[in-house]
Amino acid sequence: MTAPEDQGTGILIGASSFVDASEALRLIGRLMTDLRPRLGGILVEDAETTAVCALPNQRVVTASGTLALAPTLSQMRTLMEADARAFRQSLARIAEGVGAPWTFEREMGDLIQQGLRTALSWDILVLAHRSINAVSGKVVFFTAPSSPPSRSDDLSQALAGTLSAERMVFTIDPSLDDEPDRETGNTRRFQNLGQALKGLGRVNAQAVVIDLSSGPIEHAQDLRRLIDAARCPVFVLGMSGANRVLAHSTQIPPSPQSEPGQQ
Amino acid sequence: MAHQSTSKRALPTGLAPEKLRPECDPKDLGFETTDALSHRQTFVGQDRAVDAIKLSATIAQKDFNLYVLGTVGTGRHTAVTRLLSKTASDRPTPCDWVYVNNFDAPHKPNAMKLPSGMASVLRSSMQGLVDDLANEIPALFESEEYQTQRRAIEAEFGQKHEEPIAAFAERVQDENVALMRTPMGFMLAALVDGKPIDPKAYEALSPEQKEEIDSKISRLQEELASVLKLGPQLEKDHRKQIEELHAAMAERVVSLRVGEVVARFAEITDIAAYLEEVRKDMISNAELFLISQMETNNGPFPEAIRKYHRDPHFDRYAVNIMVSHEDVKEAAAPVITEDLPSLAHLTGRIEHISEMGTLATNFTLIKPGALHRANGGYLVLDAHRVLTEPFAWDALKRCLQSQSITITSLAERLSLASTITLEPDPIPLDTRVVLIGDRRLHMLLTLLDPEFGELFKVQADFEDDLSRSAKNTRALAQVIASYAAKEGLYPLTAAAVAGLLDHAVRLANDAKKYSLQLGALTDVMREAHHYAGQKHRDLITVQDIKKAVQQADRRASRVKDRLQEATTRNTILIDTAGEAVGQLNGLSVIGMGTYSFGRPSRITATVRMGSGKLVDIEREVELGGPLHSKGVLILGSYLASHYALDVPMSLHASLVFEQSYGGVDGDSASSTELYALLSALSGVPIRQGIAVTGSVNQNGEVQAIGGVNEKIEGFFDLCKARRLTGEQGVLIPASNVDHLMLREDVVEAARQGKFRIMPVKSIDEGIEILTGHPVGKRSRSGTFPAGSINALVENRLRDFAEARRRFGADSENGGQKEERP
Repeated sequence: MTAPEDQGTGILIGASSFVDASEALRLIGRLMTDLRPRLGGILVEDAETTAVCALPNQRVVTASGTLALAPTLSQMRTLMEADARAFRQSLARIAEGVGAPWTFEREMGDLIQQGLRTALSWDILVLAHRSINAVSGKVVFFTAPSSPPSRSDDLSQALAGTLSAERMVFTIDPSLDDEPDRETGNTRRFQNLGQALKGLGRVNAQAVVIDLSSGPIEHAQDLRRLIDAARCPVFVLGMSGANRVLAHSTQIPPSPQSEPGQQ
Repeated sequence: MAHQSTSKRALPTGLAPEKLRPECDPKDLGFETTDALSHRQTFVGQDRAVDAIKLSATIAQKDFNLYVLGTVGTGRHTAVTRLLSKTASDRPTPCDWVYVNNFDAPHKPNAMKLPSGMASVLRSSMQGLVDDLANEIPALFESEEYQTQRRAIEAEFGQKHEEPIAAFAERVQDENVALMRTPMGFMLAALVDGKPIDPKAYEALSPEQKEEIDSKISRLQEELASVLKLGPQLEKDHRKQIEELHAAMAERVVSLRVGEVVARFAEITDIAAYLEEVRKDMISNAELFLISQMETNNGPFPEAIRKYHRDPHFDRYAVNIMVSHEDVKEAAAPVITEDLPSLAHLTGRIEHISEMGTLATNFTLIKPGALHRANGGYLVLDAHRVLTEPFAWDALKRCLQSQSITITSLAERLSLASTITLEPDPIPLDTRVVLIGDRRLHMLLTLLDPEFGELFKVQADFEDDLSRSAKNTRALAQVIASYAAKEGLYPLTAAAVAGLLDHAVRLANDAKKYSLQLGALTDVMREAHHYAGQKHRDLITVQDIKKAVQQADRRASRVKDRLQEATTRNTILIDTAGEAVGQLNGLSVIGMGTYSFGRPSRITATVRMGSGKLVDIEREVELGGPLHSKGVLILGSYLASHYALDVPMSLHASLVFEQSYGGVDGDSASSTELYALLSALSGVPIRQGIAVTGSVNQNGEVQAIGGVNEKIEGFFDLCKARRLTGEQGVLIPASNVDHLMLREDVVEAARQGKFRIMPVKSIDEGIEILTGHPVGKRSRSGTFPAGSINALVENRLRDFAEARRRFGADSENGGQKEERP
């Protein structure tokens, strides 16, 4: 899917379910007036997730903490159909509200892979994640120490302003000494990505902004870990770095244990 | 049919002209024009009523409400208003009353009593309080202090929520399990080679491996469930902390501003208690001021001067003024007149507004009624209007009995209301109610409504007339002068005042009284003022007064003129000359609203032998009312008790008002009918130039009747139209002489001997005048003088009795007739 031909920032929302997409859509909706973006949505059905549902005695833990039987294959298909419809309609409503063009697509596969591939012709990829914390959180911006001011910097500030949220800057500076987390005001410095993700996991974030073109994400697994730690939508800019991340993903991903600071 | 008689007694001269119209002499008034007179502030001839009004106005005990009764135009409303206003000016201004929100039970608004004039002060203070806080609270929540505290709470709770989830995520990772997201929720799966295990791989595992995985997954699922269950409680705690932060922030500024308002009303404990409730409510509902601020940005006015108190969600802090006395310049109790005393206008109403297709209300939609406005003072109502308004009378009584004002709607009384409504606190009632109505209504209420007598213990009965003394003459002249000055009319000359007083006598229908229908007199004055103006005079003269009276008569006399035309053209047969047996002219009065006129009617009587029946043809055809029937029965008793007492009454007579097709009532023609009967029995004709009016009793005494002036003038007008002969006149009861106040043309004709008014006291006197024949007195031997009227009547009745006896005997004997001697 390519971005609609029009001026304006192209934002692609990638999600594996509507409940994940809805939080991203909420944030995008707040930005529509400021950014006037071109919108795209991609619902990626993860085959692995569908397969895991079929495991015997498999259960799902709902957001309220209750245990339910995992859906069957046909139930899963029905759920995905409904999610696709809901995603599409919400996307259309937000876009048409400001007269912005929009597109929607469904794919099978891995969200990160499909999302990055599709987002090559877009400006921003939003990897969606459902909101777990009812309390509004912060906007976290990942950067490297020597990165110049960039669009991702601007976006994080715009997000923080629009959401009336505090903005935190996570700087990964390998030159730091052994102290894992150095906090100065709203800036926290980490020696490596693993430490940063550990810190991120304990921050109530409602959006994370990262620029692929300036690191520190090197491959898709990092992105996956980032999303899992953030537990909120991740705004990915710098699509020029997407190829590098995708290229790394074709290799056997490095063992998480090789990351300093991680167990 | 009339025929000429040969010899008869002459008609008596009749009353002297002075007795026919005892006019007021301008010289006796003692002034030239009304400019010289002092204006009378008190009332003339209404001492009884005035004392009653004063009692009701001043007595402290409840239930001494007042009913003012009397004829329209006797000054009831003016007297009530003036007397009550005077009494009210000596009483203090009553308290103000407001309704305010009951924060615990909004459907039961609280009534609050405030010192006079303070209601509007409280209202504007509350409006200012809301406006101030609507500016200050949002600023407070935008302050760095609040933001910092808020962020700290958010961060704390955010971290409390994230920490267990993060720890769980790390544990999951350590145990080589993947945490996956599905549309329904989270799922856990064991990792194999870094990927979630699929069913095929799972099936390939050994039972021990499966057991290990299953047990691990199950444990982690339980743990995840426990972690996620913490969320709602944390959210609740978070909300509570935020609310406490809001309350703490709001409390400072709200307490400060409310404290300023409290200081303004320091001495009024009710307000202090209310403001404490307001303070608590504002603190716990501080977000209202934030909502208002958010809605501000699209308005045309800068935020600083916007009137936030007008927003509907601040209605809860409004002050609904029911009664306010801030505009009162001098201390006085209110005197309120309610012209439309419907239920809602009396007791107030609760309005509703349409919201989302239903009807809603709140305490700001309570509207006051007349009882609220009159609380602490006086309320004047028209009795008839109150009684004709549905449920108004009942509501008024309920309020007076309970000494409180309860607002109910008509829909509620009729059980038609199905929307939610309010139950406002009843407001204590301390009002004196004055009803103004007629006597008949007062009588009906007294008879049929037992509560009326309990609640309206005082009656002020207005006189209809005033005795014609020198003192009262001067007093009435002063009243006339006062009215002329008050209405901006030209002053009246003494002669004009005298003419007006003569008209007052005429209205009273009594030469010894003045009518107190001041409304009618003032109407004449105003019309006379108009005529004076047309003549470019600045004084009202007696000619203006006379013209006003005549023109008013002329405007109303179309029917009278048409009837007279019918009579003069002999369409209606009335003789005004000659004689006739068993026929003479009776007189009746036709009333058309406030105008009445006399109308002559031919009354005839026929007689024959019979069984003692006196047929009243009017009664037979149900055109005669009960009073008329009573008069006929009385004259029948007179006959039966005065003549031929030793023989059975063997008369069959019939009486009728010829050419009368409407109803007839009253006994004022009973003497006329008796004269007709006596003429028919005696065979002596009656002078047709004399009309008769007067009722008769069983003893033959002629009794007073009403409308004597109109009756005389009605016959006079007919005679005048045909040409006065000098042999015409009217027989009236002697007891009516004091009621004479005839027109000047009638008096002039009498002066010239062309028309006579002859008073009589008895039937004997009257029949003698009418026939010119001696009536005869019964001697000691029991007989009347031969040839007298009475003798002729008696002989005729005896003849009837004898003829009847013979007829009866012949019938018994089979028709054999005895020879008559």
